[in-house]
Amino acid sequence: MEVLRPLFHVLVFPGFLFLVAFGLLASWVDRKLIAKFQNRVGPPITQPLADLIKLLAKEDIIPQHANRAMFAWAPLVGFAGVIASAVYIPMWSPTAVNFFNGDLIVVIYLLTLPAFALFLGGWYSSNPFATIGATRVLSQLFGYEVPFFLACLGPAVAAGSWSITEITRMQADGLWLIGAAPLSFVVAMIALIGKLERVPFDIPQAKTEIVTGPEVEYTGRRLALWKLTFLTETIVGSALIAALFLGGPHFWGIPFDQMGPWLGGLVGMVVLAVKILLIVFFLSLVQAAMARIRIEQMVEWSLLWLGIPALANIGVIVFITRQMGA
Amino acid sequence: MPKLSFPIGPQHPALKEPENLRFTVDGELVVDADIRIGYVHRSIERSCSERNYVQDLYLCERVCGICSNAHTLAYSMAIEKLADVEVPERAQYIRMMMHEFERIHSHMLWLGVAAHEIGFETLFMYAWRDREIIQDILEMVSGNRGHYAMTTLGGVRYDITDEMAGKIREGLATLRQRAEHYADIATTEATFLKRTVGVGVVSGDRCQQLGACGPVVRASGKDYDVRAYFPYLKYDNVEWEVRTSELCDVLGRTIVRVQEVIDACDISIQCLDLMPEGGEIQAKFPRKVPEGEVTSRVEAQRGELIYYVRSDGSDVPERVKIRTPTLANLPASIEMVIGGQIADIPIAFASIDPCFSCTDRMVVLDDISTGDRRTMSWAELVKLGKRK
Amino acid sequence: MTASELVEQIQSEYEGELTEAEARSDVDAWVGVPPADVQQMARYIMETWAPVHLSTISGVDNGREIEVLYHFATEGVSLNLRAAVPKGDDRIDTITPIVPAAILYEREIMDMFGVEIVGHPDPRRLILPEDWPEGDYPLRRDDVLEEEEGEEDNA
Repeated sequence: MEVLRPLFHVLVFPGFLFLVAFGLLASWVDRKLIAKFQNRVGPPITQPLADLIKLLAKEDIIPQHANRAMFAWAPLVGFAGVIASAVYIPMWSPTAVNFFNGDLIVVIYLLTLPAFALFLGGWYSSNPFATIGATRVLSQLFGYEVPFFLACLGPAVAAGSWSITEITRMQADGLWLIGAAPLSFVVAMIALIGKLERVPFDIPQAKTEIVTGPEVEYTGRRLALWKLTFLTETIVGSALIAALFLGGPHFWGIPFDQMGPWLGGLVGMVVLAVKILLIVFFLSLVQAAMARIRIEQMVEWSLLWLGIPALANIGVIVFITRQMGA
Repeated sequence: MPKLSFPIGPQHPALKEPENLRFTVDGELVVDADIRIGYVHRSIERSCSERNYVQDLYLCERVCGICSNAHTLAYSMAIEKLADVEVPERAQYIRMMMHEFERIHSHMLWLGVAAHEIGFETLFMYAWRDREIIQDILEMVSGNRGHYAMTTLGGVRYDITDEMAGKIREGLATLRQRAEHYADIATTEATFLKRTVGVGVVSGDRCQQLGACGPVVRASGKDYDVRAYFPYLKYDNVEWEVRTSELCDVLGRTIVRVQEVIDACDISIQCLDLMPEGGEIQAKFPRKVPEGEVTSRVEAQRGELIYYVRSDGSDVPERVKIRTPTLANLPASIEMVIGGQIADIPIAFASIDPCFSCTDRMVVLDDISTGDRRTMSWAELVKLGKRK
Repeated sequence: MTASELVEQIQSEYEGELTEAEARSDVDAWVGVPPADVQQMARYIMETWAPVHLSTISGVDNGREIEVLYHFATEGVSLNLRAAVPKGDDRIDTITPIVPAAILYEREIMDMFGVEIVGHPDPRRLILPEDWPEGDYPLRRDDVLEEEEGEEDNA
């Protein structure tokens, strides 16, 4: 049985099945919220699943002039990166399935894989829209990745650890790190929008300009994979932010110690799910309130207005911990 | 990165109509642009000279789905001038109201499309929701949401009752408020400004040289408006002013259009006030029209629309020439995108409110794979038959 | 300015041949020149009443010749300039260098009537498809001429 345990974690919980199911739910919440903001009715709860099944049933086409290997494997690599990162993020208790000192770096690295995969898939599609979209993916990556990394560094410095599990455990006594790193939290949230390519940073996809960019040649299963990649990345990214800044599954007044592993795990999961949905709510709100900006505006703006605050916050944390240590 | 040739259209999510634009881009920068039109030619000009004056009225209405009333108006005005028929005053006011209603609905539609082009879906949804107010009014007055068939030779087809007038006043008051709100959003929302300020710039003098018209030339500080230059209907009797903006960019065009929605509400209300009570709404119209030639211009919502009609004294016009505003604005739109970013192409291009189905009017579809002519206008068939 | 004042000014100032000059109403002025003089007239119009808006160029095939009509607009006057190009020698000078707005309208005339616009900077097809047969012009009514000639022969 012990041999099957890692497999269970990757394929069922908190890996593939859980992420996809929760991703579909979050996607419905997202779509319904945006619809409400826009004074529309919005889709029924089964809509995201129906979309997924429909895509899976469609014909899979690889363009004649595309690089077959790159085109075919890119979505799998991106999706695998997201699923793999899930095992390092605490999903039901402050302890993740797997942890070691430095797993934060691994997760951040794994979460950039979808962007790189999207770039490669787009670049090797041999389509002008995909090519332009692919270069935009990379340009945008430089815009949000540095601030995102700096923002994650804030809680890590405050907790004095490079392990997400350690950082979350530290918050289990009720002192959420959002208090120590408020700027980092805001920066991480905005950088997450860039990571997920949502309005106002949906520049690489930009339907009305470059027709979904790198994804333009993808159909059927492979397009479904891209959709799943971004759905699950929404969950994993939100869970990461929740773990780093919002205490993970912790909430004041809930006695996890007395509830035992099963009930405590279930309650912790629900708490985390609520936090993730709140982050999704924020994403929807931003999406409904804004227009898409241009790539050069995005890079310029995010390096200035995300990079500098994130650095400043780290500076403050370093200063305070030094003082406390002395 | 090498220079890349980058097509938009004939099918593209930014264009609702088939048109081919070809751009040469260097990275994100547009260095050259070319346009290919003619995908939706429907042979209307030629067909007009095969049908009688009343049939042509319906044909002209179908030049465009959005500015259908402007087309029937320009056509009727031309034929009435040829036949020397005086349109009853009440009918003139009703025509003018329809003209302004259509401007409101078209500008609201444009606002939604423009918001969609820059990914501002919420504004798109709201603008189109509020557009329903004017759509309901149009439906109430004419029975149709598009192709109102309101204008007829010598007058209008339906009268506006007191009950309708009350509903119109009510609807326009709401709409006017909403338009003011959108004017506010357009000038304050940060991401909207980021995408519209300094985008698609063409100077006023250049616009004039290139023959641009409508909101495009007015947003560049020039006051060319047919309603003021060649007053028709009763535009002399109502109070209104030509709206211009000195910004020369997409924001300027947005402001001019939203302002025109507000003005159109005011003009329509004035029409209701000034309209003579009761009376004829349709003058008797002869079947045959005396020999002659005439031009007729109206300010459609997209700009100046001109008809040239020549009659040979029969019940069929010898020649009907239509020039729609989009064709006049195309040269300026090409200048707008060159030197800009790829990201700005859709919004810069949309800022002229292009309507390609109006621009192309004659079609002979060719089956490209076989090289055979598949569909031909009736005139073409007749011609072909004669040649054999 | 009214149309009659404008027509009078053309008649007194313009140094070239006029085939017609008439004000049909307060706003409609109709002026005609031989096809060879169209550039000279366009230059005169653009310089005299600037800014002038070129609304469009219409073509009319009247059987014997193709009339090219330039519809200008100045403050309060619609100025229509006619140049009739005889069939067989259907060439006319471009006015695009003088009136940039004419560029697409002239291409349309070339497409539809087969009038060669001499010196046009971009004489590609505008509306007709690439594989449209050469020498076939949708709005040209050569059949009218043939019919009339046929009738004369019969008579």
